[in-house]
Amino acid sequence: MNEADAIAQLKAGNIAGLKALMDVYQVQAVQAAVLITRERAMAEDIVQNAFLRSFERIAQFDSSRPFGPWFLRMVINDALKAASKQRRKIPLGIDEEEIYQQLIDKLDATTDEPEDLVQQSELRQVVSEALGRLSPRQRAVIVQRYYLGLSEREMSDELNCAPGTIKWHLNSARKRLRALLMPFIE
Amino acid sequence: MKKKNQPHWIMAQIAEQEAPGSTINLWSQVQARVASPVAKTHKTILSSRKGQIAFGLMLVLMLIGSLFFVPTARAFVEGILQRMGIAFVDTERYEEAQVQAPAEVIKVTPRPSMSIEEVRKLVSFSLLTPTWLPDDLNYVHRSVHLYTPGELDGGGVQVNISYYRRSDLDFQSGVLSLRANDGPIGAPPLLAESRKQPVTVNGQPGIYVHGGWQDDGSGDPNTKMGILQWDDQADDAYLTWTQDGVTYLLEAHNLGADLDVLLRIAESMTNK
Repeated sequence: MNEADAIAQLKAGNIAGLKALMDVYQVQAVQAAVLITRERAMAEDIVQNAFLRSFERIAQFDSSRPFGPWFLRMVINDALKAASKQRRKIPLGIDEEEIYQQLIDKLDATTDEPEDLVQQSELRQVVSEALGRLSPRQRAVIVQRYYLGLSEREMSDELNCAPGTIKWHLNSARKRLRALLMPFIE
Repeated sequence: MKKKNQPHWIMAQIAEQEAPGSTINLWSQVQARVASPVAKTHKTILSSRKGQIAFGLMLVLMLIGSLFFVPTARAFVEGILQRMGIAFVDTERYEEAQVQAPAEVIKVTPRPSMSIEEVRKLVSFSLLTPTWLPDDLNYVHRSVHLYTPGELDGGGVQVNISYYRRSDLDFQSGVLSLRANDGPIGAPPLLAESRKQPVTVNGQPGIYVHGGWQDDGSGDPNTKMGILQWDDQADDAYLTWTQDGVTYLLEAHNLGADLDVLLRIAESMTNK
């Protein structure tokens, strides 16, 4: 069943359409939510609720547009709200662009070497911990840009925000992440 | 072979580590909730938390009320209220305030640009658009957005028109953005109150601001918002005014634009 068929079925009240959409989007949605909330159970609750909401509101959905962005927008917003409720005060840090580039270079250089698998595992752990120290809003921006792969323009377009506003959020999140990673970069 | 997109790769790795895709299967739970008469999440939560919601509403009302009687609280709120198409923070009185613009939402497929005729058909107001622009802004993208209640603090119907230097609509190489709204503009830029310049635009009172926030330690250490410092040299300029019930906001980024340029654009605007 393709996406258009699934939505048509859902609009007709057939939950088989919902299952088809869940098969496509549930993994991406839960993983995006868990990156923002840092709690799997909460992420799964958020995604379940988002699927239920999409079921309830499918009549309002414009079938000519892709389902994924509409659905993932709900998930990201709900995850951001949930994470913000648990937000702790975190001191903010600043760092330079080169630090980030060094990190990327290091990752590129270590991809294929077996002994680097250990380093990659460590780096993954470090980045994961660093993500946890970002504010929920910064995490959401990072997840949209680097996990969901949205461009700054796509984010700006949907937000009805000036590109400069998105750029500011993104730079702020990137720099915060880089600052947190700095101790692990040679 | 090297990974093409390491940031995405590592994010995907972390996501997979924290929630392995092979272990994610929510169908049975969702199916059960769809089938259950009490499954509808919002109703369940609302009904079980009526007392909390009532208490919350009462608290909000008390807070709102207190704003009118507590001078410092009222001053702070006034410091970040939206004025026309811009929101301001009073950095002189509240240096430690860490205020961010509204939340991000996403879209994978960019909307195609609308024609100006399509835009005009969707709005009930007489939309003014520029007849003069700096020479190199040859590429335009238009869209219309209808705000849902509470969305990004905006309201009404908003027209967004952006003029770019490059055909790939890359805003970093320079962009002029025009927003027009018959209600509050959503996600307004949050700027330093101290940089606000009153101006007259097409015979109407308006506001002009030049500069932007920096998070690299540059800028004015006496004009701060959290970790950000205001930089008058940043290549960002804003002009907002209200005309015939419509709020307009012009933003120029990386264009070297100043007040004269933005005023010239504003004065060239017609409904033709």
